[in-house]
Amino acid sequence: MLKKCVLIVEDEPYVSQILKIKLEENGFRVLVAPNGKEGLKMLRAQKMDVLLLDLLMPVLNGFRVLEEMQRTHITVPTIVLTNLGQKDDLEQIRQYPDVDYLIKSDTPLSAILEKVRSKL
Amino acid sequence: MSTDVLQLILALDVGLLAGFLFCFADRARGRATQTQREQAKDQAMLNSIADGVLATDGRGVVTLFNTACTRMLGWEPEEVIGKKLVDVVKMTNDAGEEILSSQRPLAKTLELGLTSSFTQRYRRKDGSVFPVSITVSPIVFRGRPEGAIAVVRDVTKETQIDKAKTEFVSLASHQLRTPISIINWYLEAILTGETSGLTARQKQFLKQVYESAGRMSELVDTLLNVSRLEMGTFAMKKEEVNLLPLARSLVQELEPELKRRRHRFMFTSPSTFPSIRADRKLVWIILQNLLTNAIKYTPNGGKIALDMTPRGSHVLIHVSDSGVGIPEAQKSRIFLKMFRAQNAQELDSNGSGLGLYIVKSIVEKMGGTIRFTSRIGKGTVFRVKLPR
Repeated sequence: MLKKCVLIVEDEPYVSQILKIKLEENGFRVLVAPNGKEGLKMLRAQKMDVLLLDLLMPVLNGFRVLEEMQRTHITVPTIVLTNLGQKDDLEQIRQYPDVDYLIKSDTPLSAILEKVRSKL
Repeated sequence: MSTDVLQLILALDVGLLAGFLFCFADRARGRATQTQREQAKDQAMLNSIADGVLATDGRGVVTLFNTACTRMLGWEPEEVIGKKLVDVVKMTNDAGEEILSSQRPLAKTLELGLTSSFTQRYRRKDGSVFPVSITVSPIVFRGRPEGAIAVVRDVTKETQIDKAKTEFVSLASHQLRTPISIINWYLEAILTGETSGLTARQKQFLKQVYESAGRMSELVDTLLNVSRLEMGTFAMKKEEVNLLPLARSLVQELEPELKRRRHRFMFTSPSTFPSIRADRKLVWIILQNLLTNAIKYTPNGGKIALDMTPRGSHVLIHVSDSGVGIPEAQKSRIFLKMFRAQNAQELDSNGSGLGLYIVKSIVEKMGGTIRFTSRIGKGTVFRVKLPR
């Protein structure tokens, strides 16, 4: 069976590295983009099964990635993984119906894995 | 007695009388000067005070308005004295809405004869608004309030500092979250993955580091919640929340700690429970704080109970324990930010004193109320009432 593919768009290498390890251990194929611009390029190039998206990133942030995906009709089940959690941020995220939201520091790796599985 | 002698006595008397009258007039003049001097001294004193001081009669008509008041509010004494304070100087709440004169501190002091202090906003002559801290005391004569004295302090700077401090806490906490999640995740990966290379002792140390990082993460969340509440950026997502499964899963999470402390736990509620319109995460925070407090501040082998009842348009949530109780003298301060009761500090030195402050703020934000009864050494019951 072909492995499911997860794209991690995250500028903090320690974060993307451990997520990649955990997901690969559990049978996923994982690609990593260090910012929104690279992420969008990869999303356009191939079909992803799940997108793990950070919000605060250089070059192009996560909010802009979501906007661009909606504008160009890229539909990928998405989990926003961030440490923001202000009212305004949450309200912006809620505009997108297929996007879930996890706070990094509140969520163990096992729960992220579970969420990725639930999105398949 | 010869006429001469009589005349002499009379003259002496008149002289004495005249002297006496002269002295009296002189003293009276002295006293008047003295009163004027005192008045001048009072005036100088009032004007040299950096805080605004104003006085009114029993009807709220201004009788005194010092220089600091003029500096703060823009009105000259002659524009205010003789008029009702509420007609000239308007007061607004945080949202900028005018406070009715009957609701103002002055009206309350004149009516009830009590001293009261609070923070509100005054509108200046030029229309601008600024925060003030006001203390109004009654002038009591023969047991009746005959007027009031208000001391007004401009707290613009304090408010700004407070805001900057809240923003700083928020920023620092956000910045802390990323390294904390990295620590948590790598430790989790080590502890749940390949650990055969580690000695039992090393593994135990790593577990302790993991637990501490978890605690740090909770503290950062708590600080962020406080700063959000204070900055008004607290997100509230209204959804249908079913309280039963939420409470059950929380109890499940607390189970190990309940067992470790050998507490008996009772959960009572009707088998079907109406859902409420609320933010799931906030309801969780309320219950979690009240239950963890109950567990923490009850000596091992105690009784903890959670009772939930729907009542009309509300739900009642009662959390009771057989714990150490809240000292009588500290009951009024129990919901204050960073306040911890003396016996709580002795039992657990790690608390932040933010839990109940957050709970009360959230409950009130949700349109509910929270009350408690407590007896020292017997236990405490917190009663939360939330709208459905």
